[in-house]
Parts: sequence; structure tokens; C-alpha cells
Amino acid sequence: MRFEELAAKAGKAAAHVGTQAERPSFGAILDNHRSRILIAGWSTAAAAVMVVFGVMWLWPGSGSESPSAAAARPTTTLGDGTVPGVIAGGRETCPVTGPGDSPFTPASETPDGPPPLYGSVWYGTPELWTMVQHQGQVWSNLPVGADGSLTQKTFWWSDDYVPSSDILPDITVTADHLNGSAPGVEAGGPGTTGAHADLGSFMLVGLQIPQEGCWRITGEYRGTSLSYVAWVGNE
Amino acid sequence: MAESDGLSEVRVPGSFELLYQRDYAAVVGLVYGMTGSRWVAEDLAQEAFLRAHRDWARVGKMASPGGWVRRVAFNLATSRWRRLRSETMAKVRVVSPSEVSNPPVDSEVEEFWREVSRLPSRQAKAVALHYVEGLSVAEIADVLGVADGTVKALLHQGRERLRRQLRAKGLIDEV
Repeated sequence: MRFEELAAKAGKAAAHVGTQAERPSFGAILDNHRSRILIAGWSTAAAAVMVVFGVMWLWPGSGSESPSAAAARPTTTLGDGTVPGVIAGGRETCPVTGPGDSPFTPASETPDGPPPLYGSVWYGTPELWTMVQHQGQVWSNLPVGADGSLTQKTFWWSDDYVPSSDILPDITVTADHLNGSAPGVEAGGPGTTGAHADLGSFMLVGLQIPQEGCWRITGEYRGTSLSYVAWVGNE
Repeated sequence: MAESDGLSEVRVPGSFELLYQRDYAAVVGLVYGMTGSRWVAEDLAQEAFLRAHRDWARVGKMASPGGWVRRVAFNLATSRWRRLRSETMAKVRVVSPSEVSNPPVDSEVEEFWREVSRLPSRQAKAVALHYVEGLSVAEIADVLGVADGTVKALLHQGRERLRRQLRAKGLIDEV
């Protein structure tokens, strides 16, 4: 191949990446930027908290879970059977999942709750958990793709997850439209890995929701599934 | 004309919004050429536009606000690229779905941009602007803030050096 031929091909490929990139609304970029600033501020404090947790764990007996606590923690998956298959109406009737359904404190090294800026609590079981918002799970101001789909990142944790040996965890996430007939979404398989001082190590799966509405989100990892309901709307 | 959007209380000037809509893809493509990562390209392009927005009262009056954004993106890419080389998988990383499903790029293309990143900074920028955006000498001069003659020299030197590097790797067969 000649130089100019390869250069033209490479230039075209790079330009193509640019045209394929989803251009988020600039407002979303501004909001994301503010979140990053807050996260950066929180990281220092969270790192200190994690050091304290590390010391507690090393102290004899202080970091281990008692048998009664182990017995008390939920072992069944959530969401199954508690969420109707189809609902009528819009946001008012969407049974968004809130923290009252099953908040819990992980026994692992993960912080005992998400930082306040997320406005959320952990939700799920030690086998699989995520974050849900205090006021119920509502996703808004999401980036909009060229096809009109709404993009959201979902975060998942598990005591069984060892990021150092499982960089591409075999987690799948599905989304089912509860108040309409939009096609379901499946993502992950594998997911990817993330880590942050204030969130610990987590599995990450991106979703592209075809349209606004009431959606059931279900994560499945190593035979455990966890569902919650979110209202997705950019109003 | 201004846009007000959802959670953001900051009003975005219409002239900025036009620049953002017109040039975002081009800036992502340029940074991709410099870094080889779609995620990094999107991240740095957004950062460059954020900086333009923050200083729009000044940048908006420039002869070429788009050129200013490209210069900022290039500078971010240069420093980011150095950092990325030593980053490990344990580093914080939030990946967009578009990157998760990012189709593999032709290995020759990857190799080409890897060699571009080894060029002196100004040569690499001139080469990227020429081959990704197809800009003329005068337009590249405007973006880089140098004279036309300097751009001609940068392009000539960049091409020659790149040609040698690619030939040594067996990616081109011309003498």
C-alpha cells in the first residue's frame, strides 16, 4: 500500500469515529462536569473512610459478620413477582423502585452507602446489588442517540465479584418496557469493570433505552438476578 | 438565541451551540486520531468545549473559535496520551455503551495513528488536521496559530518522517 492511500484511509476512519459518536446535549455535559467536581471532592473523604474500614477489618473480630447477621441478610432475589408485567398510564402509575423495598449494608469492602451526592442507597442482596434513588428510581436528562434512544450506565456490585480476575464480568442487563410495547433491550455479557474510592469496585453495563417510559431493569450475574423499576424520561 | 436545558441552569449562547453542533464530530475524530480511543476522544472533546463555554465571552470573539477548541483538544490529548500509557485497568474508568460496542479498527489504521503520535507534537497536529478534516494549509495555519509556510514545513517533515516509520514497519511498500 502507498503512503497517501494509507493516510487517506486512516483519516477517513478517524473522521468516521467522530461522526458515529453520540453528541450529548451540552446541558448534559455541564451536569456531568459538575458531578465530576463533586466526586473529586468526595474521593478524599471517602478514601479516609476506607482506611478506617481497613483498620476495623484488621482488628480481631471487628470486621467479620456475625452468624445472626449472615442469617438475617436476604438471600432471595428481588423484583421477581413484585412488579406487574404490564402497567397502564405514565409516570404517575409507574411503580418506581425506592429504598424502602430492600436497602442493605454490604459486608464487603464496599462503602456502606453511596456518597450523598448520588441521592441513593444500596439495593439488593450480597450476591447482587445496585443503587436506587431515595425518591424512587427516575432517570432524566440522559444523552440521546441518533436513533432517539436514551443512554444510561448501570452500576452493579456483588460479593462474588473479584475485579482483578474478572475484568469482563459475565453480567447481563435487560430492560423491559412496562407501559408500552417498545422492544426489550439486552446488554452486557460481558460488562466492564470500574472502580472508584467512593463506590468501590463495580460492574458496569451501558443501556440504550429505545424510548421514554416505565422500564423494568434486571441484572443477572452468576445465577442471581435483581430487578427494579425506573421511570425513564427526559422531560 | 439561547438554550435552556433540564437540570442545567447555565444558559448556552446560540453562537456557542452552533459551534458545538457543527464541530463536535470533527473534534472527536481529531482526538481519536491522536489517542486511538473513542472514549478518550469523546471525553476530551467535551472538555475542550466546556473550556470554550466557560470562556465564551472571549473565545466567541476570536476569528476562529473552532480553531481554539481544536488547539485545546490537541493539548489535552497530548498530555492525556502520555498518562494513558501508564494507566492500569484498575484506574477509574466509566465506559460509554458506544465504546463497549466499538467495532475493532483496522490494524493498519491503528498502526498509522500510533506512528502519528510518535511525531513531534506540531507535526502530528498538522497531519491529523490534514488527513482527518481535510483542511487546507491556510486553515491548518489558522488552527495552529502559525504562518502558512510553517504549516507547509510541518506537513512536509511530518509526512517524510511518518513515511519512514511506516516503511520500517512494513505498512507501506513505496520506496
